[in-house]
Amino acid sequence: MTAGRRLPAGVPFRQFVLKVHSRCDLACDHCYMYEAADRSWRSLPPVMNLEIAAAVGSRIAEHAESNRIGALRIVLHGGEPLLAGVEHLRGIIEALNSQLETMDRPPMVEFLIQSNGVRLDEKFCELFAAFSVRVGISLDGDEVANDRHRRYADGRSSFAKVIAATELLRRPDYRHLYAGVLCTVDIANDPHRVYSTLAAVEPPAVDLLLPHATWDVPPPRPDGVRRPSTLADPAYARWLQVIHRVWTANGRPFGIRLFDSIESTLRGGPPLTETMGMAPSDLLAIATDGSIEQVDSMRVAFDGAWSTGLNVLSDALDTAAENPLIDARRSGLRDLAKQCRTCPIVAHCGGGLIAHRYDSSLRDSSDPVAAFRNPSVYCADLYSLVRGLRGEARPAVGRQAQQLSVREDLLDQLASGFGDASAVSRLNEAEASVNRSVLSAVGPRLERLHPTGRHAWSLILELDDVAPDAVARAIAHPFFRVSALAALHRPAEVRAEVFTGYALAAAAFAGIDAELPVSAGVEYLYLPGICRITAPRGRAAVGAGKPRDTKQWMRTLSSAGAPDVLLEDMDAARDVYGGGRPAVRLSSAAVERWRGSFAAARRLIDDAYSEYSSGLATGLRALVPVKSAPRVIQSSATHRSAYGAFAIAHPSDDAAFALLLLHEFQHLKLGAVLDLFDLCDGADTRLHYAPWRPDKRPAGALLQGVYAHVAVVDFWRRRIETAGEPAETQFARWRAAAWSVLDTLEHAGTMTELGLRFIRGMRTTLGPWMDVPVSPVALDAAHRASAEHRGKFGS
Amino acid sequence: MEDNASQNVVASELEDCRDLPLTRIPVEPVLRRLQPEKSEDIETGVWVASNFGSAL
Repeated sequence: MTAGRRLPAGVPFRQFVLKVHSRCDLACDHCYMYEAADRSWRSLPPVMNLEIAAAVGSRIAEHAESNRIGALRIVLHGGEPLLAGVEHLRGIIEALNSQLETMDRPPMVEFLIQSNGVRLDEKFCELFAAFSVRVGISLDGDEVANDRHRRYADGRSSFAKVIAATELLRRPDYRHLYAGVLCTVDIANDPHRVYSTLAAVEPPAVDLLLPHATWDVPPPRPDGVRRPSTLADPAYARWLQVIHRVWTANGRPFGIRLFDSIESTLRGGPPLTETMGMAPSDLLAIATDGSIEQVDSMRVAFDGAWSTGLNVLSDALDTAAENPLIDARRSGLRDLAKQCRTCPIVAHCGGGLIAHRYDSSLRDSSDPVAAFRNPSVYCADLYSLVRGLRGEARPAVGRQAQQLSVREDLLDQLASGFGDASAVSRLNEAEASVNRSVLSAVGPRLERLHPTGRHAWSLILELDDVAPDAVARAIAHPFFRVSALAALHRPAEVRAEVFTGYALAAAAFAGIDAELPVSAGVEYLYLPGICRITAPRGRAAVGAGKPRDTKQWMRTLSSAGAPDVLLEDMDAARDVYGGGRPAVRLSSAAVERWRGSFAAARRLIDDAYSEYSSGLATGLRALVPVKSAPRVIQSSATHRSAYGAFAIAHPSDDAAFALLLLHEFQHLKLGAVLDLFDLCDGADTRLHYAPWRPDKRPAGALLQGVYAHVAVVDFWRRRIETAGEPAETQFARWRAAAWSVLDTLEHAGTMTELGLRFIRGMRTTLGPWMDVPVSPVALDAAHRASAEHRGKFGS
Repeated sequence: MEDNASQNVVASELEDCRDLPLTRIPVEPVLRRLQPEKSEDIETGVWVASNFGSAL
C-alpha cells in the first residue's frame, strides 16, 4: 500500500459506498448497475471478501487520520447487500471496525445498508441492531408503481416482501434502525398513489431519485418517447411538484431529501444531496474487489465510466481525488457547462447529477470531462422544480397576502355613477387578481380537458416565473374568465387549446420562444388579443415574441390617448350574450366603419361627457360586434364574467354609440365592484319590476339596471339643448324610473350596508337632476310611456 | 392594492393574489363568489323603437 497523504485541496471523502455484493435477486429494469451501459459488474467477484473489507477499513482509517475526519458514513451497498448473508455481513462490519478502532482517535462511524428489502428478516435486523446499522429500503410506490420495474427475473412481484420489510423495521425493537425509503421516479406512476404508499410505510426520510438518463439515452416523456425535458414539457418537475404539494398538505411527516435540499439552498443553507447543489462531493464507492469507483450513477454513461484505475489494495483514497471525473464532482462551477455557470438556479441544482449531463457527441480524448460539461438532460425539469419551490417559498419568507380593497373616496366616486381613471384602475387591479385566482384554479385541471392542457399549464407556470406581467396581460383578455369558468363548470364544452392559446399569447407578450402540442384535428388556435394561427403538424408556436403561422390578426379600434380597444371577432368564448349573436370575421371595410363610428362616439363623450372619459379609456378593452336583431334599433350587452368587453350591434349613429358605451360601461364597473363586495343579498330571489325591461329582475340585476340608467339619464340631460323635446322626454322618463327603482331597492330589505351606500351615491347624483325643469309636453310623454310599460310588464 | 395608506379603505373578502405563486393561491373564495353563470349575469341593452323613439 502507498502511504496516505493530506488532500492538497478540496474536501476529504466522508461517505464510502461499499459494494459488499455485486449481484441482485431482483431484475429491476431501471437499475444503473445491471441494466445500464456499463457491463463491468460481470467480471467482479460476487461478494466482497473479508481481506478486501479489512483493506477498505484500513484505507478509510488512513484517510480519516490524515484528513482529521471526526465522523464518517459507510454504506453497505450492492447489488443487493443482503445476498452476502448474515454471517458474512457480520464479518465485513467487524473487519471494517477492527481497522478503524486501531486509530488513536477513531472517528464516529455511521453504518447504513441500502437494500431492496426482500430478504430482510429478524436475523438481519438483530445483526444490524448489534452494530447500529440503519437500513434503507428501495420502494417505488404503490404495487403498480413498484412492480413496474422492481420485479424478480421471472417477473414475480417484489411488492409484498418490500412492504413486509418496512413493517419489520417499524416494529418497536427495530424502529431505530429504519433509515428511510429510496424511491425511483417514474412519471407513468400516479404521484398521489406513490406518495400515499410512501407515507403509509412511515419512513423517517424519503429519497426521490430521477431515473438515470443521459443525452444519449434521455428519460421517457409522458408519451413514452425518450427525449430531453423542455421548459414547455417539464414532466418530471410536474410529477415531483405534485408530490411536494401533497407532502406539504400532509404536514411533511418525513423528510424528502430532494425538496429539503432545494429549500435549504433557497434559504442560503447547504445542499443535502449530491444530486443537487454546488457542494463538492465527498462520496467514494468501492467495489467487491476493492476497486475505487466513481459514483454508481456514472455507469449509465458508457462502459467503464465507473473506473478510476485505483484499488484499495494499492492506492490511498486521497489519490482518488486526482481522478478528473471525481475532481469534476468536487470543483464547483469550474466543470459545469457555460450556460450552467451563468444560470440563476445553479446554486440549487448544481448542474444536476454528473451522469445526467453525459453526451457522447462531446467526447474528447484529451479531456475526459468534456462529455459531461453539459447541462443535465433533466435541466428544464430541475429549473422548473427549483423555480416552483422558490415561488412556493415566497409566502413563508415574505409577505402576508393582503385583502383586496378600494379606497373609500374611489368607492364613493363609483357609487355616484362615475369613476375616473384612478377608480377604474383599482377595478382593473382587482379583476387581475380575480383572474389570476381563476387561472390557478383551472390550470391544474386543464389536463382533464385533454392531455395537451398539461403542456399549456406547464408553460404558463414557467412564464409566470420569468415574465409574470406577460401572463397577467394574457389573462386580462375579457373572455379569459368566461373560458376558465366554463372549463371548471362545463368542461365538456371547452377545448384545452383555448388555454394553449393563452399560454402562447403570454409567451408572445414575454418575447419568449415556445411551442406546444395541440390535439388532433385542431387546425386553428386563437392567441387572445393577438391573432389566430394555424397549427401545422399538431404544434403551435411563437418565436421571438411573434406567433408563427399567423392566419388572421386581431384588429383594434384605435383611439387617441387611450389603450387600443380590441374589435373582438375571433374568440369563440365571445358568444355569451344571449340573443346577440356574434358577427363573423369582419371585412376590412366593416372594420373601418367600426373605427370611424367608435372614434366619433369617443369624441362625443370626450366633449360632452368628459367625467366618463378617463374611466372608459382605462377600463374598456374590447367590443364584440354582434348582428342586429329585427325591429331592434340598438342592441348591446355585457356579461358579468367578461370584464372590459361588451357586445354591440353597429349603432345607428354616433350619439347612439356614445349612449351604449356609457350604458354598458356602467355595467362593467358595477360588475367589477360586485366581484369584490356584496351589495345585496344574493340569496334573495324576489323579483322586482324593472321599468326598462320586459321581465322582472332580482335585486342584484335591478341594481345593475339603475346604475346603468344613472348614466342614461345623464346622457339625455346633456342632449336636451341639442336634441330638444325628444331628449327631454327621455330624460324625464328615465330619471323617474331610476329614482323609483332606488326606492324599491332601498326598501326591499335586501341591500347590504355597502349596497345602501351605493344607493345613496346614486341619489346624490340623481337628486339635483330630479329638480331640473322639464316641459309639460315632455313630462306628459314620459308619463305615458312609463305607464304603458308598467301596464304591460308591471304586474 | 391601495397606495395611500392614509385613506380609509373598504376591504373585500378576497385576497390580492397578483403576487402569489400560481400554485399557492386560495381559489375557494373566488370560486364561491363566481358561481356558475346565471341569466342575470347578462345585462342586455336591447333598445326597441318604443324606448328610444326619435330622440337620437
